[in-house]
This record gives sequence, structure tokens and C-alpha cells, in this order.
Amino acid sequence: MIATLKSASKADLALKIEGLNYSYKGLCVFKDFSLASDSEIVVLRGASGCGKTTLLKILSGNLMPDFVVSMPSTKGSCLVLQEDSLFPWLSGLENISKITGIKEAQFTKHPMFEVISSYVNRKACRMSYGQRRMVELFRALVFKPKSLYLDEPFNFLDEGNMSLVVPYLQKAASEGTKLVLSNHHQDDKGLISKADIFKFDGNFPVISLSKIG
Amino acid sequence: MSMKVGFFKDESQFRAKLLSVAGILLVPALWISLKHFGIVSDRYLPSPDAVIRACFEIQPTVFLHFAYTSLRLVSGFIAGVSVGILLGIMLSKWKTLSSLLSPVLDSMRSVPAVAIVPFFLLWFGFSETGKILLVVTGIAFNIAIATHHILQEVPEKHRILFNGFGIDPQSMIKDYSIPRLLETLLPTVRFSLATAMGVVIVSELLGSQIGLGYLMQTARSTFSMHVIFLATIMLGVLNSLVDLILTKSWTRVVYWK
Repeated sequence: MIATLKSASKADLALKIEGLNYSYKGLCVFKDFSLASDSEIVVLRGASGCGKTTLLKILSGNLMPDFVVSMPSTKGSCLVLQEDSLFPWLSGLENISKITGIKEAQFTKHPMFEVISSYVNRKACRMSYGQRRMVELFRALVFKPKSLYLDEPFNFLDEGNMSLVVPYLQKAASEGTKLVLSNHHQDDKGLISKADIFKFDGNFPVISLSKIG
Repeated sequence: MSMKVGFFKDESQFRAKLLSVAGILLVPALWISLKHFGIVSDRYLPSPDAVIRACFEIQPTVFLHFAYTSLRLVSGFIAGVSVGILLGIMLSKWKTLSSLLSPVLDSMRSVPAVAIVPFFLLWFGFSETGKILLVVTGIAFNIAIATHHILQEVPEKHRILFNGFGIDPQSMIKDYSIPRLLETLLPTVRFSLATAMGVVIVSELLGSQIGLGYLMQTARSTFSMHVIFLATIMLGVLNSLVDLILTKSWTRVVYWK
């Protein structure tokens, strides 16, 4: 009984893509692409321009594939781009409350809030890139989307901030958020345990990815 | 060397400022030397001292004309920009309205406001209301269309943000639309200032008892070149002054840029 329940939740977590086709301005990016993982966290690795961001945009419903046999539902998915998308005219707090609809009194209770509390009341334009990135990651985490797609989340983050945020990402994943992130850093293996790491080799069209760990 | 320039950031900025000042002085210098060496007669180019004398001779004083023109310009400009932005926001909020009005607006904005001056004279006479409304008509449509355009074009990173958090961007007028509008609209607004200036002068030329346009009109009939010259200089000063105040205060409003 317990075993069936477990496998059911496993199946729910799995990232499974079959027969994905997508081309962009004449370039065939994905051709009959398939990917399967039943890990809580999936990491996509590869040089820039190899299709990581495109895949995240397709998975999160921000790009329509030309044809796909099956892929996870895009409903309730949230993509955080590597480009800074905080509104510079609002404070960090306003950027969180007005976008997520969660009241300040509520999200300040989140354990990760402590990490950003020293600068989150500043206007976003007066924060550093790293600080803005931390606020964006925090915002996505308190929103608790069904699936969270992070494009290069560790850009602009130093080692310290990176090690501060990773446990919360792992916690969110273990609490049921499907987490897929792209990362061109090579040193994520120790940071993200229990993750399936897939590597783009940089050739087009992408048909499948090689699994590293 | 660079230590001496003090409050400028560096030497090249200092050089640029110096050149600008030289440029401003160049025109009067040319004018004075042309007159001084008697190359051009007074019939074709008035002398500088005649223009300066005109400052005090004209009744009522030229500064009163200047004040009237600036008041009409500034009030018409502010009203026009406000009406334009409001209309643009309404167009983006209600699709029905934009479908209904877009063809009319598109055709209206290409009609120069100067062309409809006779109507405004007929409807409003020489009144100030008529002049201000003419400026509003002259610039509001363009600003409305630009506003509508800016608000329609949500950048990809913001579209992805709104998608991810399930937000309708139209619901965030105060926190998203207005700030984004402000950071992109300045070039259109500055262009509208030049248009507004033209409209004010034409409306004064055709139907007014006071103002720089009226002054030019009366001077033209008596062929008083020095008065026309004076009025032209004052218009230039007015335009740069309002433009300077506009850009300075605008960059203060969009402090995050």
C-alpha cells in the first residue's frame, strides 16, 4: 500500500518529455527530443547558446513547441530568467508582495527571509545584482509554484550566497516543487545532492542529453 | 590638468561644456561682427543695439508678451500630455475602445493642428481656452498613440514574470504601467513640446491681442525687423528653458534609470 503511494508520488515528480520538436527562425533546436528523470531536482548543463533556456521556456509554457508527444503540464509553472526582472522602481518587499500576492507579514516568516532582510527594504535599483538575484529566488520560493524553472540561478551569486540558497531550493524540491535549473558552473555537484544532471553537448538539433550524475 | 576642472567628471566633459558655451556665443558674435563691419544693412539684418532697445520700447513690455506665451505653452503642454497619457492608458485597458478609436486617432494625429485654427477661432474666439485646447488637440493624439504602443509591448522578461506568477499586467497600472511608461515616453514628450510651441505661436499669429506670436504679427505689418528678431530670440530661450526643466525633472522622476 505504502509502496504504491510512494511510486505514485514519484511518477508525479518525474520530468518526462517525449518527442519534442522546436525550431526557431529556421534553426531546428529540438528534434524528437526525449528526456526522463525521476529525481526531485534536474540540472541542465552546457555552454551558453546550447538550448538550455529554450527548453526551460518550453517547459514553463512561455514558448510553444512545434510538436510534442508528451511533456509535463505547464500549469502552475514559474520561470525565473537569468535577466533581472525585479521592477527597479519598487522596493524588494514590494516586488515580493505585489507580484506574489502574499502579504509582507506572511512571507517575512519564511526561514530564508533572514538571508535577504538586510537589503530587501531598499529599492531594487539600489541593490547589487547578487542581492536582486537573491530576492528573486526568495520570491519564487515563497510563491511555491508547482514547478519552478530557474535559468542560471547562481549567476552573480558568490560562494557564500550560493551555499545559503541551495538548502532552501532542496527543501522546496523535497516538499513537492518540481525543480529544474540550468547552470553552466561545473561545481554544482556537491551543492545539489539528489539531482539528475544532464549535459547539452552544443550540437543542433538536440535529440537527447547525456546524464552525468 | 584634470585636477583643475573640479566639478566636471573629467576633462572631456569639461571640453564638451566649453564647446557648447562657445557654440552659444558664436551666433551673436557673428551677428555683431557682420553689423560692426557694416557688411549687411539694417533693412536685411537689424543691429544688436536696436534689438536691445526694443526690449524697453515696446508697449506693453516684451516680457509681458513672453509671459503670456509661456503660460499658454506650459498650460497647454501639461494639459495635452496629461490628456494623451490618460487616453493612451484607457486605450490599452479597453480593447473595444482602442478598436473603435484607433482609425480616428491615426488619421487625426497626421493633421497638423495649425490647419484647424479657423475652427477654434470660430468656436472659442480669441479666448485662452481655445488656445490651450488647440495645443491639447495638437499633441494629445500623438502621446496617446505612443502611450498605447508602449503599454502594449510588454518586454519578454516581464511577460515571463507575469505568466509565472499568474498576473494580468493590466491590473498593475500604478505599480507597472505608469513607471514603465514614464521611463520610455520622454522622447515623444520632448517632441510634443516642439509641436506645442509651433501651435501656440500660430494661434497667436492668427487670433490674439498679446503674446510673442502677436508681437511678430504686428511687427511684420510695419516691417520692424528688430522686433521680429527679438521675438524669435525669446522663443528660442523659452523653448530651451522649458525643455531643460522638462528633462531635468523627468530624470528626477525616473530616478531608477
